[in-house]
Amino acid sequence: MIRLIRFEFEKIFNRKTVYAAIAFIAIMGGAICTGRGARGQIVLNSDGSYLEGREAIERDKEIAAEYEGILTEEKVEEILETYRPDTEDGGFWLVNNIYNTLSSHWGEADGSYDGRDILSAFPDYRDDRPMVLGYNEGWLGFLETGMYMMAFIGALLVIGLSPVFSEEYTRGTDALILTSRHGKRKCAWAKIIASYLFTLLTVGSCLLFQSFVYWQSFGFDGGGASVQLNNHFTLTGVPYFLTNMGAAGYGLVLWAGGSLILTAFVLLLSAICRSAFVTVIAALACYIIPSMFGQLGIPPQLLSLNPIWDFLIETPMMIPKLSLAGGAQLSYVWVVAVFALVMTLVSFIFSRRIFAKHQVM
Amino acid sequence: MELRLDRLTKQYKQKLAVDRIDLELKCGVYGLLGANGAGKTTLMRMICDIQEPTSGEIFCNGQNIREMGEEYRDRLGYLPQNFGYYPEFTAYKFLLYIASLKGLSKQQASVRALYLLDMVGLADQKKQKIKTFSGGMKQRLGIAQAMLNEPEILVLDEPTAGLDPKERVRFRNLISSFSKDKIVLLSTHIVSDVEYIADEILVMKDGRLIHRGAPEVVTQEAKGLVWECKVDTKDAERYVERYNVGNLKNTGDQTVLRIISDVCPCEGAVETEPTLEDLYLYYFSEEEDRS
Repeated sequence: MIRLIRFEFEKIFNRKTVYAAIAFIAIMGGAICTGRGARGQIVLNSDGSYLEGREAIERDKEIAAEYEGILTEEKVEEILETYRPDTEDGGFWLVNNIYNTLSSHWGEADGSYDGRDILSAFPDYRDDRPMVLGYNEGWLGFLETGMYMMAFIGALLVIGLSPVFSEEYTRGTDALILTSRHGKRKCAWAKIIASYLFTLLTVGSCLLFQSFVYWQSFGFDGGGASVQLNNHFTLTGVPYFLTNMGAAGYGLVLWAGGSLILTAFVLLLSAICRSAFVTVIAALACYIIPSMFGQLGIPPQLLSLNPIWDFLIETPMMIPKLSLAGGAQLSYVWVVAVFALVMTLVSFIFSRRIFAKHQVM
Repeated sequence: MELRLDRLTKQYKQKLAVDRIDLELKCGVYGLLGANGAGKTTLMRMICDIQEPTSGEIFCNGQNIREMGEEYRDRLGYLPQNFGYYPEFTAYKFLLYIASLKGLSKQQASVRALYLLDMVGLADQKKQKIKTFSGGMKQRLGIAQAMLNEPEILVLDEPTAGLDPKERVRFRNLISSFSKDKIVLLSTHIVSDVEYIADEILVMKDGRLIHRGAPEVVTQEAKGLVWECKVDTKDAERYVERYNVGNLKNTGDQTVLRIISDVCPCEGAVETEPTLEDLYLYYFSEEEDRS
């Protein structure tokens, strides 16, 4: 079996399109991480001078350490007054991490406090626990980069896995496989396992790489701060208490879940379609088109079962938690995870069956 | 070893590709003859359990092959008409892959792959990628992969397509040496290939098995139908249009024609001993023209 898996794995990597897609993703990943990493950090000092790179990160962390903890209106006012720049051209945007975060929610055009209370900035928030302030640049960078990268990785999975079954039909090797002893069972399993290994490898390496870049640059500071408090307008609509570290955990679950759903879907299509080209087109269409469904009033619960919406993580995280018996609450992220496991099982059973029953023409 | 086909039928929408074939195959080499569209490939695919019959069943030693599953496929070797391969694989790696599909251990696979590469004359090219191979080399590789598991049932669909005469001789010798205690079913358009090595000829037409028997017996079906005559070269074209001409040889002003016809084609025509090719032409010349 291991030999068969190795051969199937090699077949996936024997395609130039896969290498081209990996190269593209590596370049994109490098560019995004460079832009969002240490090099892209700036802190404005009160004397108008700037700190950049690692110096800026250290200064940001110092400021955040001073104010971290439960966020109050007094704290907002104090921070905005302390760090408000003198410029009148809206330059307050790039001051420091904490100031930028608060001014994006409670700042007037001149950078001063608008006087609103904390929760008025988060009308969807339905949790008794208060918001917690902390340094968030690394965590948000990780989450945002993950969204973009996973969207690209999704395309790589479609390109890499669409031919797994259908190319055998196109090439005429289906006849050789299906007349061999292990062709209808072990070989099909090997194809499916190799496909999931490919998914694990690509998604895993991508996430490991970006984790390394962000935690090497920014450390783990701010893991306990509320994810809603950021100036990137990412995840600000999450209606329950969620820390940056919790959001990263949910992000990992959604990226893994979305990858499994997409892999399952592509494998099923590959087993059904007689041509690898048709499979790629159909799978890409099914992957990309749902990204436009956000405007159609489709419930987020349904949208969240599509890989592209899982990769973009916001929609599943913004669904209110489900109430369970005994007062327990469950994030919808776990529904996506269960759905992903079910789809994985479905793909294991049905893509093998479809391939085994394929009629050679 | 016995393979029994019981009223085997395959219908594609309006076309009846295989029509209620009853057949018993015991150890030996069987040559399947028929024009394009006669149903040979469909019949072979059903025997290999990669196409489901519309009705009818196939039994191997009394057991239904669909119920046997892996046990049946373990005894099977198949070379499809359009042999598919992985262009980026080397010949040796390709055979190792097929060997692992066939359940050979790593060591067995290596030994058997090298042996067969040598047998089909590809030993020197074993490390070359298949995409660099000529048509004949690919076909030889196809033959090698079919024999990897020393199958008891070997099904070869047009195995000699693309082979040059020397390679065909090598193939015939390979099959002859391999066929002991095995069922070998091969289809080909090159009648001489089966004439030399087949123990029995199966003739298919319009999805039905119209003749079966030893080559010399089947050939006798054409007895009294084959004529040789010498005509003026300028008249030869007229004979070609009117009759089923198996051979035409110019000798100066005269042309020697080999004609397959129910009646004597011309004065002075001499009845000659038929060959399997004559029989093939007798049954299939119209279909071949149509296709």
